[in-house]
Amino acid sequence: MEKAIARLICDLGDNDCHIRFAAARTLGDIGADDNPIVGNVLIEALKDSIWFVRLAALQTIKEIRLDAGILAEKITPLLQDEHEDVREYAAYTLGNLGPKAAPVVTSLTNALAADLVWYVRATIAWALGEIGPAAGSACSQLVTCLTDDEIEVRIMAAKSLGMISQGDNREVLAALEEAVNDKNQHPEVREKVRETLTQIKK
Amino acid sequence: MAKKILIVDDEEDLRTYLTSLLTNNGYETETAADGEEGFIKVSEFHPDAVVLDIIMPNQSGVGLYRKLKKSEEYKNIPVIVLTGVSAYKDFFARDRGGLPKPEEFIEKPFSTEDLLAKVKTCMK
Repeated sequence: MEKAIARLICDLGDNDCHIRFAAARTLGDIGADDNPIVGNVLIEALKDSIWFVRLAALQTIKEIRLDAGILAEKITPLLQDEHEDVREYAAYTLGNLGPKAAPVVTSLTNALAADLVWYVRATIAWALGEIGPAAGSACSQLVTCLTDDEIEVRIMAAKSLGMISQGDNREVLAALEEAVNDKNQHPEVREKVRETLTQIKK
Repeated sequence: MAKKILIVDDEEDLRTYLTSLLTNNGYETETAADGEEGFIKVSEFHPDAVVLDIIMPNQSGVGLYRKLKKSEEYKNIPVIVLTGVSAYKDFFARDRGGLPKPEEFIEKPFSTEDLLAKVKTCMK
């Protein structure tokens, strides 16, 4: 096993991006998560010039027993990646860290405001909800997302506001009330907002 | 009339193999090598189902999948995700509100029986 891991680590530096991609994936598949060098080489692979190698490294690194704070710190730059799949998967991985991703709430909030791809915004909104009350500073941006062009982003923003906010957040309550009474709002969004309001007022 | 299946995968060998497998089992097939071409082929070929790889150049399978499921015209076409990246199973399965889930998920390497069964099931 050690030899195989050493070979795969070596392959992560190969000139052929397909070999680097396969190495990053295989390191995850064979469960090399207790080898301390693997974490470091995968962190380096997050900066690979080819998007699918970065994505494979990201998918593998979340299985490695890295400290959640370090993992969040290393993944956060990928919220600015040039490829939308990498950005979305970075947000998804941060969301899976839950409250442990609290230190990167500002980066997630900025990415939510800036990303041009609707499903990346939707997954960032989801990730903020998974962080929970510690993502309180993201509420204003999530409120803005209640009027996003895309329904999926609005639904996710409403759901996450319910997971983050407390009943005394007037800005959130006012925005949710407005959304639920807006007859031009999509019925699915109004339904989700209604659920959120019930949840917050409990 | 034969049911129509669009195969979207950047690996030419796999496209050839799947075309042969599905054609021999009574399906009419068309192929595309990436998400961008895939979307064009969906509009031209009007498939009954799409077999979709994820990691592809240009527009990936994730991009094409989301585009299809967001389209009023194409959202009901069943999509069978066929990928070597097992992490995508959780990625798609995790409930993220409005983001839809694929009808079927198959991990590479796959068995032909499994693929054919899932193709059949998703078009019922």
